Amino acid sequence: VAILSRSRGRRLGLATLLLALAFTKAFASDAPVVGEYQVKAAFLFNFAKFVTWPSGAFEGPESPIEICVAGRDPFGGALEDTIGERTVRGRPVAVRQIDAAEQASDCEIVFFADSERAPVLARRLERAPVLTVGETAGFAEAGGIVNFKIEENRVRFEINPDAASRAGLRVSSQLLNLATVVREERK
Amino acid sequence: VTLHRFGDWSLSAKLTSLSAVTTATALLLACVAFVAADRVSFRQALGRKLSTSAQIVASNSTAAILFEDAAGAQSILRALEAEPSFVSAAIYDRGGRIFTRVGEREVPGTLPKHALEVGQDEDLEFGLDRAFLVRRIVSDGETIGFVQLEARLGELADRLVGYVSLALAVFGVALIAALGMSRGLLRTITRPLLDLAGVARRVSTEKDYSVRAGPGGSDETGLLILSFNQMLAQIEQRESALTNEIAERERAQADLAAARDAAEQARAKEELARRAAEQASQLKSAFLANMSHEIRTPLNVILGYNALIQAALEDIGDESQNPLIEGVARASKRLMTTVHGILDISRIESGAFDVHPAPIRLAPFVSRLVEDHRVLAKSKGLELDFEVEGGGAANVVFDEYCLSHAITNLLDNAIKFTEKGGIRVTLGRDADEGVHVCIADTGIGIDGDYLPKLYQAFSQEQIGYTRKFEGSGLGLALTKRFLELHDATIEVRSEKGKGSAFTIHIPPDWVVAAVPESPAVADESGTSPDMPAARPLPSDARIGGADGDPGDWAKPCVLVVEDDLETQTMMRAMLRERYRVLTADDAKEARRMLAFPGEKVRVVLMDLSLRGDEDGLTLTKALRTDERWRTLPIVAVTAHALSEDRDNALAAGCDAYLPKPVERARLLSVIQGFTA
Repeated sequence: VAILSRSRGRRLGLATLLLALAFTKAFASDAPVVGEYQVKAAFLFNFAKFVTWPSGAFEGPESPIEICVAGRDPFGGALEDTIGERTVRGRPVAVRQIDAAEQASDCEIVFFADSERAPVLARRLERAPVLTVGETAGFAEAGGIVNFKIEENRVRFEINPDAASRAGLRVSSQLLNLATVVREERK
Repeated sequence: VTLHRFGDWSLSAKLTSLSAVTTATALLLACVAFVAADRVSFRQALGRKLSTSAQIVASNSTAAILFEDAAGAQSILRALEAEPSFVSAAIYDRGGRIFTRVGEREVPGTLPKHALEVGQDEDLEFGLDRAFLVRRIVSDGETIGFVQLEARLGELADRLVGYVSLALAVFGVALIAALGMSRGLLRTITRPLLDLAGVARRVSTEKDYSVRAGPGGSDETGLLILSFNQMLAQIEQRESALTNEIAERERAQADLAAARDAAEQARAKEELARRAAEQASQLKSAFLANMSHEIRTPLNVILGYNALIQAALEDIGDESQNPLIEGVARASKRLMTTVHGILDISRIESGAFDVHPAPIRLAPFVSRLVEDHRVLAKSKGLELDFEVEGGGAANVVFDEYCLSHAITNLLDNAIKFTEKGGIRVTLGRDADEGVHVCIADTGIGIDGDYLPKLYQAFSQEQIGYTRKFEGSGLGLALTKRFLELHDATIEVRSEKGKGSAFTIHIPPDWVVAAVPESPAVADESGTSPDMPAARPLPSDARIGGADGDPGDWAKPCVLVVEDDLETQTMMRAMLRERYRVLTADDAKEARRMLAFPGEKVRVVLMDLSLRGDEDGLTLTKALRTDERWRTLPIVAVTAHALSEDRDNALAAGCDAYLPKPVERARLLSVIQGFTA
């Protein structure tokens, strides 16, 4: 009997340990996404692959695709790390920090970090061939083209096709299939 | 069931099985080829299809991968599930970790590192029943992940089963068709062959070469049948020829055997006849020899006594009885001549007559014979001429006895058958270098009808029962035979009443160039009729005188070995005037006489035939082996008057040979020759 009770006690200890581990993991996943901006950097780069700009948007055939971070830069170098020397359709990809919307006219992709002003700023580029990407809720509905969101701890995104077509951009159906399509309320 | 070897199968079975095997093989090969080709093309098609699907997935899932949307990627993969061969599909991230997957089968969580080489975009692999395709997913020259598709090959197996069943069905149909065709083929191929085999069997079992196989087509079988028939014809022909030949040979052999038997019989008969003839001939010869002996012995006595009587009468000067005494002598001589003739002719006929040819100078020889007859011719008042024509004085090689007998006989005949006129003897040379002796007379001649029988023995031309001329008729026959022994011939020309001419031709082979002067050895045989002239007897010779004459002891002693008492007495009478005569009846007594110490026998007169175990020849031989009598003169005195008798006597050791009848004068002279 003594032996039996001893063994049962041990098992109980093991189960407790496993349970504790499971909880630890659950808490970890509830925390902000690890490397969120690394993912977002990769997504930003990848958007370039599924969006077609009008021909007049580039100065030449080898002109770089410029990814601009407007205002605050949450990537902390992750964007540059992600891009490296990679190209898209033969074009190099460059990263630029901009402070004013006026500076964004040469950019192909402009990222607006989460802020109240982001939709407003994006509306200014409404007619320019620029893919506007935000991370603020309602960004797409407000006239932005792509908006990051976090679902089930994963980075997902919304796309406003009307905004894209207004900007003269063609968004690949593949991308659309992956995105949550958002319509503008005002129309 | 016994398994026969394929070689033992019937032709139809062979052909059928052959066509079946051929069909099956062809079908099998076709099937295998089909299936293999189908398998290859199926795989290629599958590979292409998988590749296409993978490319679609790759390009469609790029975004899903890049944006890490596994659900989106899965929805893309789900489109593949409609494919019947679909088993599973999976997408891996660039590190090979599973990204998303669909399908009934669990796929590995990580892609094997070696699934794709560096730079390889796609790899297709076939398992036992699956095909695996891995494709690299590339975006802007970057590998962002891999798609793996897994497809079932089950369709291939289904297709294989379908093919095999189709092939089996085709095979079945083809086999039936082939069997049907081969049945038809058999009818044209095997039937003629079976017919041929049947005929061949009949030929071999019944030995009937007259059958023929039915006519065939012009193919190889037809040629075979044709050749077979030709062969049969040839065999038949040869067989019949052989049969004929055998029959002929057997017939010939039978004939030969018969002929041989006949020859054998003939030979046996001949042998029998020959033996009988030989026996008869021997009997005849023996008889004649015996007769000759038996005649000579008493004749010897008669002549001896006759001579003694003549001598006794001469002693007392009484010559009145001379004609009688001469008559006895003449008759005795004629008897002797006849005996000689008979003996000679029988010996010639039996082939026992030996000739001893010797060189003879013809002219003096014939001349002497003519002179011998001069007295006789003169007594009949006949002329007797001898003439040697040109070249007639030749030398010949001839048996003196034969030639002398022939000429003497012809001279005798000529004188005998001639009453008046004369006889002419000529010696001449023939054209062929031969020599002839012609004796021509002016006598009665010979009738033409008789000429063919002229030389037959014992034949004399007779007129009625009256024998006009004496004579045995042996003369001419013997003459002709004597001449023939030397290849000489005799020829006669005659005219009845005018006379006859006999010519002896001696061929050139027997003529020689020269003859040595007078042969040194005097012929002691005395068988020739010409006896040497008797020497004059001593004046004191007389018949009679007692054995006890005191003067006897001074005379030389002569032993007469003689079994015939009459002859003993006669010999004693002949000899006692000059010699002391001892007589012995047989060999035993002769030895006793010779061994008698008080006597010295100077000469032995030995009769060759003696009574008792030992004859004269044997006794002589025995005496010659004894030192005491080795040089003792022994004179053979015998009635065995043949030439071989003389040879035998001399060979046995006799010093001289005197045939009976013995003339007294000759006997005395011979003895004197040894005692002097």
